[in-house]
Amino acid sequence: MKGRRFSGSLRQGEHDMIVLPVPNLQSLTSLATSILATVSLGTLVLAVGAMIRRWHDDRFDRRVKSLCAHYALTPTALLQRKYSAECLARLRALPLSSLELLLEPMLVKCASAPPLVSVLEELCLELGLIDVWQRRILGQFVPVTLRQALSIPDGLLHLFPRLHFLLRARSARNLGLLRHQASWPILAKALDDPHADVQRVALRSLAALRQPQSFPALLDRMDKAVTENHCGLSLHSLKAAMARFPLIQALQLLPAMRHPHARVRSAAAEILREMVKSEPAGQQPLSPFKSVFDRELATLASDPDPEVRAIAAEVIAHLGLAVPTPVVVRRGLQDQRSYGHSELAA
Amino acid sequence: MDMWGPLFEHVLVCFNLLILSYFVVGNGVYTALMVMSLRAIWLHSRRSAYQGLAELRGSSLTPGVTIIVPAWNEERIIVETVRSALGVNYPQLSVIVVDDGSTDSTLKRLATAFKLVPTDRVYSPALPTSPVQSFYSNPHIPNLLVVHKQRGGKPEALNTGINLCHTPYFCCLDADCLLERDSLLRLMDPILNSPRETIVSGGIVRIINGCTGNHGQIVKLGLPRTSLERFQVVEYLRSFLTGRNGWALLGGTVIVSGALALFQHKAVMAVGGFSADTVTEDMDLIITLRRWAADKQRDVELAFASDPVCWTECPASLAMLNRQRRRWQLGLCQTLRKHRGMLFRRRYGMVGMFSLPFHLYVEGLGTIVEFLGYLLVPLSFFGGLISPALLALLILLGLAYGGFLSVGAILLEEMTYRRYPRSRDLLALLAYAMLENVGYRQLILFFRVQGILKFLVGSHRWEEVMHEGQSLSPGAAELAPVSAHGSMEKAG
Repeated sequence: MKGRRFSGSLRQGEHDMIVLPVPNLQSLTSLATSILATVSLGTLVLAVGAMIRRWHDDRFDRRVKSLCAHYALTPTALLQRKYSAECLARLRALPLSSLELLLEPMLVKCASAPPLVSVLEELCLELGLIDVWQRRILGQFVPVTLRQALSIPDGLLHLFPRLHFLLRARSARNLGLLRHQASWPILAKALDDPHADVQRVALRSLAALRQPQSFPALLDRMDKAVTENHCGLSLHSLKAAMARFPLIQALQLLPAMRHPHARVRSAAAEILREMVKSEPAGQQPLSPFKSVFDRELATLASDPDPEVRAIAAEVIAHLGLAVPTPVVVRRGLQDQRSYGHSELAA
Repeated sequence: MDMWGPLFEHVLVCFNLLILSYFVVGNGVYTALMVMSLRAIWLHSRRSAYQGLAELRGSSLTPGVTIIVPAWNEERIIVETVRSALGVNYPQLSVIVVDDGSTDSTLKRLATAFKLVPTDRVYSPALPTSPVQSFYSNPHIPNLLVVHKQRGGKPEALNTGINLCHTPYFCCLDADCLLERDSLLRLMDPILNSPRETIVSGGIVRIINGCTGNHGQIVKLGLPRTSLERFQVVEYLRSFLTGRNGWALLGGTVIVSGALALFQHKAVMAVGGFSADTVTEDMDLIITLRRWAADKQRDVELAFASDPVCWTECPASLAMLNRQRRRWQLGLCQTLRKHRGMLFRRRYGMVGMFSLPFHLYVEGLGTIVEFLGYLLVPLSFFGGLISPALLALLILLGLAYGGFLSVGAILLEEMTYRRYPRSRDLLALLAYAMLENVGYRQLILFFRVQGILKFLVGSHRWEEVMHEGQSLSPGAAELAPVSAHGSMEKAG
């Protein structure tokens, strides 16, 4: 195949034998010109975009501050319940997006202060936000116009169903931060959400709620996380969530402690250990069911899996259970991995 | 002469085409990475609203992490770095400082600042290292251990720390870096929340020059004063926000900065720890881990998150910048040579088929091509092979494209983390992003070519980069002056 002459690169009339399979100079120049124009325009758009973004964010910050000041939405005011009926009516008149704008940052800020959380829960319930969040988790979104969407940061998320998972996850987080107990069935349902983020946040919120009825759902997910490869939740996040439940739920762990899969057994033992550790000092943990756990832990201390044995020994040490000491010591000495001194001493 | 003339012209034309291909491939891939990063970073920043770091911090199930700080002649900054490491928000944290035979007062300053006393420890090195001479600790700071050993180099110092590490994960931290308080939690988040086994989690390195640090924490953010440092701020933003993030999305990560990375202890032990074969031990370890996972058919993940931040000091002088870039380029060449067996091998997936070949072509060979381009394109022009219009157009296009990628990185920063709060800082960054390709890029290219020449002559010498320590510790200047010693410095 004969290529075209690279006319622009060679002096006219010379070296006619050199032929290169490249476009001619004119097309190369016009291609380069159009790329240059596109790139320059692109650079300008990006630079202007960065500046607009800064201006927009600054404006948003100012708006939130002024709204908070206007509606007395400060932690101190909330604690003193300074929002009057009139103030509440004015808040109700605000669009949903503005209400979220005001209250979400507040929720995050006050999450570790229980008195504030209960006031905020009351306020959110009053303003209908809890209902909105619950509906969102279930995939029921209030239609938003483009203008409304543009008026709030992340408002465009409402317009793209593929990004709705961000809103569902945020709603699940809010319900968890508020410790809204009545929302547990919705959060439990969200464990089956198509997006892993929503599942994860719902799991954390369920752990914050500590509703005993939700515990079996978590156990079921733990089973799936080990036995099925396609579970959106990691075993660690499940263990961490279940460990936050009160020790009384430990009874429900018994089937998992006898599970054929060693990872489920060790996970159950770990959850038990963490539950025991988080019990206040001086309490008699597992007191009504001590004999049941004595038996189970003795079995786990002789488990074929060293990981399970190690964790069982830690729980036994912590609880001071009447498991035959030689069993633990013998198994501990057999293990390649060393038991902690305190565990063996127990 | 009649025969050589056309031949020379033919070579020039071919070379111009090579430059064009390098330009198209390099910029094309980087544009694609930028677009992907834009979406990923935006999503990540939105997701951080419900990340749940408080739960991670509060859970005793969160695996322990050991921060390993290798140090050699770091008397100016070591105390601040260790303070920063100890001040990190993390439930089960240990810090091991490995003093790699410092000849200055690094050890003395540590002992004084943390009231350390000699202590006995059993040291059984699973990874071979030079002998450990002594251990120091303070019973009131049980999670701090200082190890004094014979000089053996940074990889060996890191391996000493790995030998002493008893936690499932460890984090390497250069002695001239400050960690943000939540950085370890953010690094751990993808590890714990992924249903797949994650063996490495990397974060972002930002430049501390111009910021004010106190007691191991940044107290005031700002841009550095000199242009040289400001160009590096833009360069780091582009490299981390666009490059690393994009490669991580493609599953082709081959570089995770050793200045801030969390490694799974057992995986690193399985590959024999850090190797002294190259001067960029972090890149080497990442590729070694990739190779090991593929050879063992392990389904593992290497995560990268754009919000865990570690602040580091960039070279403020041309001489130090030259040393740094020479070393990075030398390390890249050494690592590519060491792992050449992975090139174009399907079993190594994206890394073997795309990431490594790209690094070889654009970052390795491309350096030579670009450098020769600066010499041969003008030659083509004077030889009448390229018209003045085309020459001007190509130069403008090169500058504009570089500016486009850098401005894109600034936009990413602005859309997500916005670390520089003042509007004038944003304007300055945008200006430097556009100017970066005029002068600074060529300077860096010149340094990189020197690195390649060092590789070709077989040099393996570690070149130290001396840090001022001004931003990390305001009182650093008052310390006794250090002579020719510098700090062991992070690899890009």
